[in-house]
Amino acid sequence: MKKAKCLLLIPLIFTLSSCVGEEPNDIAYVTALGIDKAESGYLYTIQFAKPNKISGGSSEEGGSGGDIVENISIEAPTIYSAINNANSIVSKNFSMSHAKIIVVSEETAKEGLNGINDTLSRNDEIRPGVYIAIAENAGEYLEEVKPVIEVNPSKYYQLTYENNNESSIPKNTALDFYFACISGDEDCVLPLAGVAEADEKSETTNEKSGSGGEEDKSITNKSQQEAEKNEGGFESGTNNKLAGQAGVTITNKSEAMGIAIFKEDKYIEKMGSTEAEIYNMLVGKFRDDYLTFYADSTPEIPITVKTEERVKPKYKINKEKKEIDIYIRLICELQSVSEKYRAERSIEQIEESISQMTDERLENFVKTLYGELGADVLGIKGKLKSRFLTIDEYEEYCKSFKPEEWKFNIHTEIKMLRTGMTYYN
Amino acid sequence: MLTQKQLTTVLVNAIAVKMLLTYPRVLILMCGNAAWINVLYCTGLAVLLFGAIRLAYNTDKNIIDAAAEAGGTWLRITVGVILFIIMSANVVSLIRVFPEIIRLVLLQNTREDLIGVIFIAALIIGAVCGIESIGRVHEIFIPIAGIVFVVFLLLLIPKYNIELIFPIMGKGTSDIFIQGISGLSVFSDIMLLNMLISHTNSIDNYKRAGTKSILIGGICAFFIIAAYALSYAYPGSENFLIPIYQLERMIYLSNFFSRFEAIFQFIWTISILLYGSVYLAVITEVWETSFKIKPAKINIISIAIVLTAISAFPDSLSIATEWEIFITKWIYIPVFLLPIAVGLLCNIKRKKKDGG
Repeated sequence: MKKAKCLLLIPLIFTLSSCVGEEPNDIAYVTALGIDKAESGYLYTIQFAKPNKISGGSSEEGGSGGDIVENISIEAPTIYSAINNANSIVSKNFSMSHAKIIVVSEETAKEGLNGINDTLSRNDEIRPGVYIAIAENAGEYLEEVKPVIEVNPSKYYQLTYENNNESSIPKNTALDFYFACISGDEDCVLPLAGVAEADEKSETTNEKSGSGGEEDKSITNKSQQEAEKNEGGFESGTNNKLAGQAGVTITNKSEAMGIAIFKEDKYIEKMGSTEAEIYNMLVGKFRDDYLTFYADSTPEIPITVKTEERVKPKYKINKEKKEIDIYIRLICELQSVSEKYRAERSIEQIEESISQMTDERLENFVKTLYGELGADVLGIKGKLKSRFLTIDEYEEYCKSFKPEEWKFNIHTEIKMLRTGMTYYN
Repeated sequence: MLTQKQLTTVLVNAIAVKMLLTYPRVLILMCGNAAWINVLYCTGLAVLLFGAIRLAYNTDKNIIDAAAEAGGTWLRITVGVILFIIMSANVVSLIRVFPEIIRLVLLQNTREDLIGVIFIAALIIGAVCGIESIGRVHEIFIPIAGIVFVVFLLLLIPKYNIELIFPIMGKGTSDIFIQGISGLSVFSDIMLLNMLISHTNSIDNYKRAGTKSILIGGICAFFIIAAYALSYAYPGSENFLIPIYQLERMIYLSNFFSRFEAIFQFIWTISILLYGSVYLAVITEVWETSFKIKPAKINIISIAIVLTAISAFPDSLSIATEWEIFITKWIYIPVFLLPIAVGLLCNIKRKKKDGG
């Protein structure tokens, strides 16, 4: 009897014998998806990884630039009908489980993204942490994604959109967007993606790369001249860049910079990298970045400080007067000042003038958002929830909530903790 | 014989399993983001009600034998049938919902009826092994599951947003404290204790295990609901079928560790298999004791087939979920009243005997 029982256990061995159904080798992993408006329905650009070009793939050589990904465009009414069509074009079946970003064109986003929201929440395959970015032309952006120093396309998007030392885009994911739209507690902002308008410089060449042996060419971005200069002391002397306007010379023309502002699920306006920094400060997501100011006494000398927001900003809300005081605390470290200017002698003065410049710039930004655009991107409605006892009371109040009626006072406290590796008396 | 610890772990698992499936959504639908208050309130009420059971129920016999002692054959059969219906109602929704959910989140390309057949086969094997064996497995497994649960709650800390818990009273005090009384159904598995009493050494084990399991189960339920309410904004939180799975998917510690659900699904599945096995074994015992049928393994298979057949009635997962909501509304009434009533009848009968 014991032997018979042991024999019955043998079939269990077969249940431990790897994947049933599809092997990972039979799957094409979508790394990014682009959604543009088409004549009828939408044009979906599906970007998928080429496993043999990714380091560690069967070739073990790795690739670079456009080598590592492939794009196909399909006109379809929904994301999954596009995937379904694409399955018949490519030999492998597509899986969205490793998708890192969904790029939506401005035109599509203006019509509202509730359809995409529904697909993302209903579907188990797409991770809730996937990024949604807004671009002028989603397909074009994905075509131009040619990572130079990354051999894994997923890693490329992760490093670009999750970089903690970079505040020129908001760090909101699809899940944040979904809840902002469904709960109505706030209006969301999303990262802006774009393509540099540039001429290829054929004389400037990089090393040959990838097994294909295609030669990478450098480009000089023309659109950088279109970016407007920052006025006032905040980010003095730098440009307020939109995606596609970064002043760089690189092979990869794709860029992520700036914020796309939404009212409910509809895209209404875009703003530049400086506004993205300000937004991150106001919501407490500004981690570690360099900001440039000047001292009142010497406006011609730029002062660059490494800035960190260690604590979340405090919001004091006066519901009756419709007035909000926002307290922001930034920790700074002096990075560069002119040799002629001894910043150490007037640290307190610098702190004071930086605070004023920041307050002024932040107040302007909030005025534009609330006064002109009527978008509650700081989630004032959500912050007022604690003033109500029940959902019914809160919803009743929300009906009469008008962002334009609110007044904001920003109080930035700057603390210059260090002056770098030097100290001049 | 089951020790007090084994008995407690069996009941804690039974109470907590509900929270792993669609039950948190039922509570959110009922009370909004204040469902956590409802859980605390119902835990307090359940402790009080179980206190009443402790006072009324003073026999070491299981509830069916106690009913036979108090009112003879007809009361035995009546109580047995009621118990059978309550327990079946509790487990039938699980038999239906579990394969559907496994298909939804784990085995998208496998037919749900095949998953269901394998699930039932596993429950039968567990039930055949006997309640004592299942109790011992619970004793080993529950501490491991507890550690995973604590890690899970800690990993979610960056996602908690205190603003989401407001408005503090959610859908209103009436929904939390009056209609919300049906939240007591989360403790409906305490009914198992009335049958497991004959598998333990003393009435003390029964009493202590009952109170402990209500408290531990209530705390687990509170943490799950609170974590969900702190991470998912209302009314969006109403839309997700399996709240705990949504929470697992939120855990993200860079690319190195972003799929915590794989670990959780493992714990989840074992927990549900243990729960189902206990139920199948106990329901079979209810049937056998009620009708004085000689215990046999074939009875377990027959009962499993009957339960599977009942679970197949709802045409879709959404109808099965509606069933669950309906059962939740009413099941707590007989669960807490039946042992009190049988215990009181037993006491009266004994007093009469003693007096006579």
